[in-house]
Amino acid sequence: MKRVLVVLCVGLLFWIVLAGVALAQGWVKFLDSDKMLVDTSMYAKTPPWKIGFSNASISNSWRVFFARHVEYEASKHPEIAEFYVTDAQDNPTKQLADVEDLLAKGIDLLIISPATEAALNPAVEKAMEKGVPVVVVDRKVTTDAYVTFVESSNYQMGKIMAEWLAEKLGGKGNIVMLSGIAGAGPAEDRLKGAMDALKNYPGIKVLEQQYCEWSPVLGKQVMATLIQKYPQIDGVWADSALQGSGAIEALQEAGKPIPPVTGEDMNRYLKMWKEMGFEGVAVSFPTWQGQVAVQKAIDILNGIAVPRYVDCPRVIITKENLDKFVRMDLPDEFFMDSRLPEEWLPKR
Amino acid sequence: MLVALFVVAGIVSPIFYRPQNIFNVLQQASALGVVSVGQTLVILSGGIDLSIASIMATSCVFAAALMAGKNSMVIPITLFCLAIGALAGFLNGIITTRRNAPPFIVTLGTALIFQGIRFVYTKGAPFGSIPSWLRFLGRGGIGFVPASVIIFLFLALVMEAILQRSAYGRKIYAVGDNKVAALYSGINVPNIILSVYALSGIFAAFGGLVLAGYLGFGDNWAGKGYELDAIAAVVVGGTSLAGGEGGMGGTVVGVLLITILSNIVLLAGLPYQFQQIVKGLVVAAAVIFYSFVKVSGERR
Amino acid sequence: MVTLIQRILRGNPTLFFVYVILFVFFVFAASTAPQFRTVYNISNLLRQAVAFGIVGIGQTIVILSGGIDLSVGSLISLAACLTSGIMIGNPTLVFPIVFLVLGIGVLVGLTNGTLVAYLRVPPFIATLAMSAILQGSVLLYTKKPVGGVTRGFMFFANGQLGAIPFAFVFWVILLSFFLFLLRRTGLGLHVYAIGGNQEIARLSGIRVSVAKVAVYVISGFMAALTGLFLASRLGIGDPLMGQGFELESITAVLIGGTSLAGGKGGIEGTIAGVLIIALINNILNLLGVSGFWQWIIKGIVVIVVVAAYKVKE
Repeated sequence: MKRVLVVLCVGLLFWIVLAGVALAQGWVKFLDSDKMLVDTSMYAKTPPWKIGFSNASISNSWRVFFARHVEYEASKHPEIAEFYVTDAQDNPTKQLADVEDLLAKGIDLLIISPATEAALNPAVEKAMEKGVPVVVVDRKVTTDAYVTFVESSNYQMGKIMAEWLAEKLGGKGNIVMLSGIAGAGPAEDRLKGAMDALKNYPGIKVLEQQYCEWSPVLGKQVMATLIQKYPQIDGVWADSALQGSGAIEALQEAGKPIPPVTGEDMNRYLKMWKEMGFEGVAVSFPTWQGQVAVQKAIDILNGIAVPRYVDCPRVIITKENLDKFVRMDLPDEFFMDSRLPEEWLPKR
Repeated sequence: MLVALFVVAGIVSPIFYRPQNIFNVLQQASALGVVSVGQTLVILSGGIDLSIASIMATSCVFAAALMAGKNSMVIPITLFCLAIGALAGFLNGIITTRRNAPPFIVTLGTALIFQGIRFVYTKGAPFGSIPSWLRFLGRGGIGFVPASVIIFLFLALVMEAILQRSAYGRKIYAVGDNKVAALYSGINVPNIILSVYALSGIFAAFGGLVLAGYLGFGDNWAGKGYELDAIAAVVVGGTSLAGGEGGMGGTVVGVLLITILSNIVLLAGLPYQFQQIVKGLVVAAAVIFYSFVKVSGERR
Repeated sequence: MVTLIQRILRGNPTLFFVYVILFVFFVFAASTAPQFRTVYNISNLLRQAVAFGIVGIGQTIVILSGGIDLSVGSLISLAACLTSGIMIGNPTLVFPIVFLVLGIGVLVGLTNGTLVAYLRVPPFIATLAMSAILQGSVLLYTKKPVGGVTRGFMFFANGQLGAIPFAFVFWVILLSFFLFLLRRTGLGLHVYAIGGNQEIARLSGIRVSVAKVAVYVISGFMAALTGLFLASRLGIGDPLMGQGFELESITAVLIGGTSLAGGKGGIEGTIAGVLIIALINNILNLLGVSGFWQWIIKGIVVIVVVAAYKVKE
């Protein structure tokens, strides 16, 4: 009898623990929801502050614009006494070391733009364990150990582009898809968004999907070959203006009428669009995410509640508002959905 | 080998034989070809040059920025870019020879330095544009022959003539074959090595201009990966990485082979992952084939 | 221990010089950046060095034999993805996966070795081709970061034994083993002999091809181990995470004074090479040098270091 009771009690205890874990996990999920505000009173601190920004890299012009926005916003706040920036040169292992270097400097808050999605979990977990709040920006981490995540959804971006293309073709036609780097988070997310959107358009036939490594040279070379292969290409989905602009060149040189081509707010693409007058759409991947990240960081250190998730609204540039964004006098690799004042632009 | 690939290409896809497709392939081969000519010289002398891609992009970015779309600037700025390439090559050569440092690391270091220089100069966002003359070089054609491939073949021919017919060419082979022996036979080994790196730098800068013409604007990473592609092309062409053995004829074949390979895996519609795998397999197979031909040749 | 180091240094001026450079860097870092001197920072520095340290050992042995291994980067990605992709937090799978992954490393090394030793493909091309094949394969397996490792497995890379990172202790044990292998066993002597002069090695009765295959097997094994280490350190495998490891590991080996022609140098130098690179990154961060200038400074430093010691021929 006694033994049965013990077994029952242990069993009961087991179930209680299990239920507790399940509840706790449910609660974490609740925390994850978009609208959830995170209480940051425990991170409130009187200035001056030391903030660390661990950047993935500044190895292309998008990332340069992004980093500029971060530094521009940081410069506007005299409460920030020290603003340290590290550059991981696109290497997640180096970035892990960078974060450790920043923590060694005794920062009050960490802003991180991860070099690859998910691989920086230990870095942000370590920071949070030390009581340093973390703002993740641009690419996500898969752990829950951060305060807020600021991005502009790559999935949505790819989806909007594909929907526009399908609508433009009246739901019927042959398209080719040109992606960025195989295995890179943003490229795969944009592709997934586009594929999901195309499920609703059975009349759209994807002739081929290829990776162009976000290189205009490869974009042009791949497109030139695809033009030979397919007599009828009705539309081009390109996840970035880098290979997109290369593809447009290839189409133009093949002497074909340029079909609808998707792109982003890179000036090169906008200029070509303006000059050649093809059907285009530019969906921006806002470079000012960086600015928002710093604003949220300031809020956290002031103890103001911040959203768990911030989706920076992308600008959709169409024929109607093209003139508002294109600047023929500015360099090709400028991103026009920018909130930088003229003197902060990376100009010589 | 090349003939075999031509036949296989045709079987994979008859589109391959279309004049326009051949035009595209030749055009795409040109920039790689120009830099491979320089790489061949370096490898023949027993060295290796990993700074090529960085010099190409630097030359491309500076060309766009300084030409700013003006045809009148094409010639002076082309000379300027070639001078940058020569400077980078000179740096490679001087440190490799005077300090007896491994070229692998020296050229990797130079690549980093010039990468930094072009980013500092443009603040990370390249500006300017490519004038129409240079664009003709990169994408124009005479009939069904791209302008750039004529230049590539011309350069390869000239360098082959120099290699085979001149004292300088024979010295490059001698240095690559055995440095000590070359030194004892009165060859100024350091100067020969210095000159091949300088030439490789110049060819790389010129390759960058060809790519700038093809592309139409200054891109920070134009030519990315070309340093390894060029080495692969040279070795697939039968030039030995140990130096002293091989020539331009093989390099031309190697360049075409690598470009055609990229073309047919696309025409075959292979997904990206299989493209990588097939390219790896074919390059390995080509080199195995060469080594067997060579061995049986030696036995005879 | 101390006398051993002294003996090594006396017998080898290049190695002595590498350690002088390391010492200079260390003093420079300690005097310019006050945060550098903290135990926390030093312990981080050691842990950061381990990933390159492991793959660097394999690369050193390949280079000593006169070869080169460019496939380690893709192999690391593949190993890390398989580790986290199959484990998915299941502790019972840890040991089978470790064996599987190391087995794949050995297999890749075996293939590289066969290509180089028996089919006479230049190692640069054989391993470059292998790298493309492996990168294609890993992207076939996954295009996104995949799975996750167990908490226990994360101890491998992130655990501490007091103030010393466990990974560093592990690395030191590995180093001792391979130092012994290179200096005191037949295989080690054969590697040096082959790197020095392949023909003479063959004539003196060394089975050159077998030794060469062994060398690539060691390198493949070490790259797979690095993949396991990175999966443990980052908690997850990413299909692109090994990119750049091939060139950086070669850089570390050559900075450590090992000759790319083979036959000269050793793991002792690579240790210093790995630490020098980690120190450069650490100092540039602590001094807050901006990204573009980091490239330039790193390029200059690397060139100056290899140019500083003049190898007599």
